[in-house]
Amino acid sequence: MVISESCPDTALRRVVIRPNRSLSWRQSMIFLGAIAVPLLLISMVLAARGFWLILPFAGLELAALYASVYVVSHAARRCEVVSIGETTVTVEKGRDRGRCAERGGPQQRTEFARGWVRVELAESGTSWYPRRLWIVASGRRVEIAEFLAEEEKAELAAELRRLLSV
Amino acid sequence: MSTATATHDDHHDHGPAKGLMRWVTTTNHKDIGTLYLLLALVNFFIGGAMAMVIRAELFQPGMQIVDPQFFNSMTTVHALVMIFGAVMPAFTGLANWLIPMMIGAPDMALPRLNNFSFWILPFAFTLLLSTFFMNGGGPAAGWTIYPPLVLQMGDGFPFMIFAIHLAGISSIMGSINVVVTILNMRAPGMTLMKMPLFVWTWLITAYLLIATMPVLAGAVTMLLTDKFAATSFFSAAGGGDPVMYQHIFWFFGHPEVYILILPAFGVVSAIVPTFARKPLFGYSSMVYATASIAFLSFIVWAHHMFTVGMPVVGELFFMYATMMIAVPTGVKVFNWVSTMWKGSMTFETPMLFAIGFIIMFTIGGFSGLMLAIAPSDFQYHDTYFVVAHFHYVLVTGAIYSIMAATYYWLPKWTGNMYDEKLGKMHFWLSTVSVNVLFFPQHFLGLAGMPRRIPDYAVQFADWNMISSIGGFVFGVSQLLFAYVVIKTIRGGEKATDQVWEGAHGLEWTLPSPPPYHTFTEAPQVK
Repeated sequence: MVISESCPDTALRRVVIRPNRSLSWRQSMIFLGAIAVPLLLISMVLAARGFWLILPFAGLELAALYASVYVVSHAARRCEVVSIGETTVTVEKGRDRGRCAERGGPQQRTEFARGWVRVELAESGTSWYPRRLWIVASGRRVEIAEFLAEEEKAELAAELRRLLSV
Repeated sequence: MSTATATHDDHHDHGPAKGLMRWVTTTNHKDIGTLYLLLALVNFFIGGAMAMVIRAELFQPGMQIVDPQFFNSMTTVHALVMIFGAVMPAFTGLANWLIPMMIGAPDMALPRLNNFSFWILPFAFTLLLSTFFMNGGGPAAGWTIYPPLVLQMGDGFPFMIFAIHLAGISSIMGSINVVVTILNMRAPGMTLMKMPLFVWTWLITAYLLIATMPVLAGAVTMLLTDKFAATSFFSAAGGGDPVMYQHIFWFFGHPEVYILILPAFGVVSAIVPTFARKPLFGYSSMVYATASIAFLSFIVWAHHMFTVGMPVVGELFFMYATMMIAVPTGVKVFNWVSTMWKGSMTFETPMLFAIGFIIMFTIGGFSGLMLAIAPSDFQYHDTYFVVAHFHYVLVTGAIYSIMAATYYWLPKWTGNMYDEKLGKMHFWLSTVSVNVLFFPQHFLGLAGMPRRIPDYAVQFADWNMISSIGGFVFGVSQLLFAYVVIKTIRGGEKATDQVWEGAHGLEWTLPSPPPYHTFTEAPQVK
């Protein structure tokens, strides 16, 4: 998912790139509850009747399910922001809850001189792998939008080139 | 260039590993889907070979080929291999191949977990089959492994329990992956009520698996401790309750039956509209019917044990609850038939298998209704009528749907069309022979022939011989299926992207075969 926005006070243009996430954390927890409640209920009823060995397996499985949901939701909170100013282009990578800089700021920040910046959409060298999108300048390069689909990458590359040429 | 970027360079700029290691280390959903399907095919032939032994022994009354202990091992391991080694992995393979493509995701949500969940399985089944070479032989107490009989098993007992644990861990990991993928990785616009029914049925199947697998794990572990740790969970002599094992097992076991059939409903719901060239009739009711079947599956377990001794009120509850399952199942059959009604139908091999499924699964469903009637069940219980019933559900139901799915999506997977003539030959040979194989077993059961016996009274001889002939022809027919699959993988007429004129869905927007990483174009869900 790509959101392009401009700041009216400055000449800054921002492109926010996030992976697709089709379920919120709250919805994930509701789903987890829908599995956990009947499973724990049955396990506890059986434990009360002396068949307690089912309960630890139920606990282990629910822990694995929670961990899996957490890992995927965490990965889906990745966020990249490409800020195009008058003289600089900044690429910030981090995680967010809604907006990029709200939780502790970016984890990685790279700044380029705008005049030298190129947008490269590189073939991977084999049809087995998707193309890769790079911000390149003065021998340095940062990959962006790894999580986007091919067509979205192509659209993003075109949009960045357009913004850089303005 | 940062170190992190360099690492990514190393990862991306070469293709998948070459040779065997590609398949060992792969995290790609299509590779893993292929591995699951191949394992299922291998296990289908291993389990099928055991079925041939069973039918050869039952060809005539008297003891002919194997001893009774080995015969009992054959019936037990045939069931375990077919359920946990063929049908479940086949559906998981279909899920791996299709779910990401159907919901517009690049891969499964947890690719490494996906790799682990597959690679556990070959070890689990090697372990299970290795018990045949141990002192005391393989498991022979039936796939339900009831105590106290199963506790008499020889050295292979703990290995069998460990194999079941491994298969269970694999199932749980696979289910978690499916759930997380479906919920978190749907393409923008792909709301829950826009998902293909195959995805819906798998979401509900995964829910059932996650909800019931710990019950099986706990039950078999308690068997283990009863045998080796001096506990008495199921030993009456020590104050335990062997009947309680049956309750616990079937609390897992009945949802397991739906785990084996719900994805089949999803497959048929994809195929019928394609070849009827009409949208699926009653999509929403299909989703609600699937959810209703899943819910009911938790409250019907004791219909497997009407004869074990329970209060009349309990028998009535489980009888009526079981009969209620006919309602949502009937909704499904009605919707499939309504989809075909006045459709512009053609009868390619996937459609033949789908129609075969609808007719013969319904036969299995009706005999299930007969078994649900508690007073009648006292006559049918543990007879060949039960064997006929569940084989109509699982062979002409689950396995027919897997074959339909293979013919339907094989051109998409391989880029090559299968041989239609051989496919149709496979269908007709299978359909005639499977009915010769299983239909007479209804008569045997009604006449009183018990299941799981290597010898029988002479009045059962004729139908057993006919059933065995059907079994041998059905077994040989499946070699044709393997040949068609291999031939298609190796080449053939090139398939178009859409493959079938009436096919709809995101997977048909991809090239045939699809690229290693799904979606070279952004999926558009309207």
